[in-house]
Amino acid sequence: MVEEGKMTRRILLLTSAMITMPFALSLSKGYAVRQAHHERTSMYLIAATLILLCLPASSHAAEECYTADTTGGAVTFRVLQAGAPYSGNFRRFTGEVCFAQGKLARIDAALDPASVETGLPELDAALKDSDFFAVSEFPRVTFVSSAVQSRGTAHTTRGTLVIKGHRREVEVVLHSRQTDGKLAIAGVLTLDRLQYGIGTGDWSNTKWLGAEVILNISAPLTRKK
Amino acid sequence: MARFLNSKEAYGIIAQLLHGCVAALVFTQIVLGLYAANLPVSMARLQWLSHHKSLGLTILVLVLVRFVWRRIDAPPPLPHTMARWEHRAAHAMHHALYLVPVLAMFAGWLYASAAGLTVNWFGLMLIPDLIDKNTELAPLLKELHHVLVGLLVLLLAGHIGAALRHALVLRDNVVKRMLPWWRRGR
Repeated sequence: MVEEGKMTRRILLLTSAMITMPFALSLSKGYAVRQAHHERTSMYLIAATLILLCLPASSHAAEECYTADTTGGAVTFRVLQAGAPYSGNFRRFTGEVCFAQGKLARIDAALDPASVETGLPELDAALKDSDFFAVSEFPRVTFVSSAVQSRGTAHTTRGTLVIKGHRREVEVVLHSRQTDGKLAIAGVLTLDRLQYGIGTGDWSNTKWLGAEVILNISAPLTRKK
Repeated sequence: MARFLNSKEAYGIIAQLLHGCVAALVFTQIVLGLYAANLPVSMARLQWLSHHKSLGLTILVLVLVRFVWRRIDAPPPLPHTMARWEHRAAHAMHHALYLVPVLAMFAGWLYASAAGLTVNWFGLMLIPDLIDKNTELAPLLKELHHVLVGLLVLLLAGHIGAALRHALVLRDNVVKRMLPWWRRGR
C-alpha cells in the first residue's frame, strides 16, 4: 500500500512542475510575442492538472487516519475447554483506522500472537508453539479491509484475515463511538480456529477444545498527525 | 431392613456402601490427579484434569452425604477394650478424614476458578466458579491444594495403618464392622 504522505508529495511535485514549466520555457526563450501564448497554455495546463488531480486528491485530503492504541485497548478471546468457557487476551496489537466523511474508509491491523496471555504460563508457552500460533514462523496476525459499508456508527467491514499463513475473507461489524472526546472502535469476530490451523494434532478434538473462538476487539483511536 | 442401618456391633449396608464408594473414588482421584498434573500441556492433560475435577465434585457430594448420614444413623461405638487415648485418636482421625478431603476439594475448586478453568461436571453441567479469575492467587491455591492432598495421604496412611493394627495385631472386630461380608459374630 502506498503511504499517504508519499502520494501527496508526488502530486505536489507534479503540479508544481506543470505550473512552472511554461514560465521557465518562456523566460529561457525570451520572446515577448510568444509569452502571451505560453501564459495561456500554462493556464490551461494548471486548470487541467487541477481537474485531473481534484477527485483522488480530495478523497485523500478528507480521510482522517487514526492509530489504534494498545493502551486502553484489548483483544480478548473466548473458547470452550471441556465445555466450559475459557478466556484470555493478546497484549500487543497495532492498527491504522481511516475515516472519510464520518464513514469508516479502511482498516489495517496487526496482532502479535506471542503476546497471548491466559494467566497460565505453561499454557501461554503451548499457545506460542507449533500446534497453535507457531509464533517463530508466523509472528503476525493481520487484517486488511477491502470494503466497508457504514450505517451510522456500525461499519460492516470485509477484509482479509491472515493467521498462521491461512488467508481468509472475513466480515466483522465494527462500532465506532465517542467517549469523553476520544474516538474508539470495537467489534466481535467469531472464527473457526481449525480453518487457521490453530490447535492441530490432538488439539483438533473440538469436543474438548471448541472450534469456535470469539474475539472481542476494542481500541481507543488517536488522530494521526 | 435392619441390616441397612447401623447396629451396636456393626455398620449397616448404607454406611458400608458409602464408605466403600468414597474409598475407591478417593484412591482413583489421587492417582488421577498425580498422573494428570505431571503431564505436559496437552489434550490428554486437559481431559484427565477435567475428569479429576468432575470426580472431585462427586466425592465432595458423597462426603457430605456420609457426614449427614453419620448424624442420622449413629456409628457403632468403639469396643471398651480400646484405651482412652485410642478412642480420642480414632475420633480425631475420623473428624480429620471428613474435614481434610472437603478442604482439599474446595482448594482445588478455588484453584480451577482462579485459573479461569471453569468446571463442567462430566460435560453435563456447568459448575459456578467460586471466585473470579485471579492469576496472582491461582498459584497459591494450587499449592494449598497440593499441601491438603499431601495431608490427606498422611491421614489415609494412618487410617489404613490403624485398620491393619486392629485386624492383624489386636484381632478385634473394629475393622470387620465395616466389611459387608461379616455376619455380626454369628
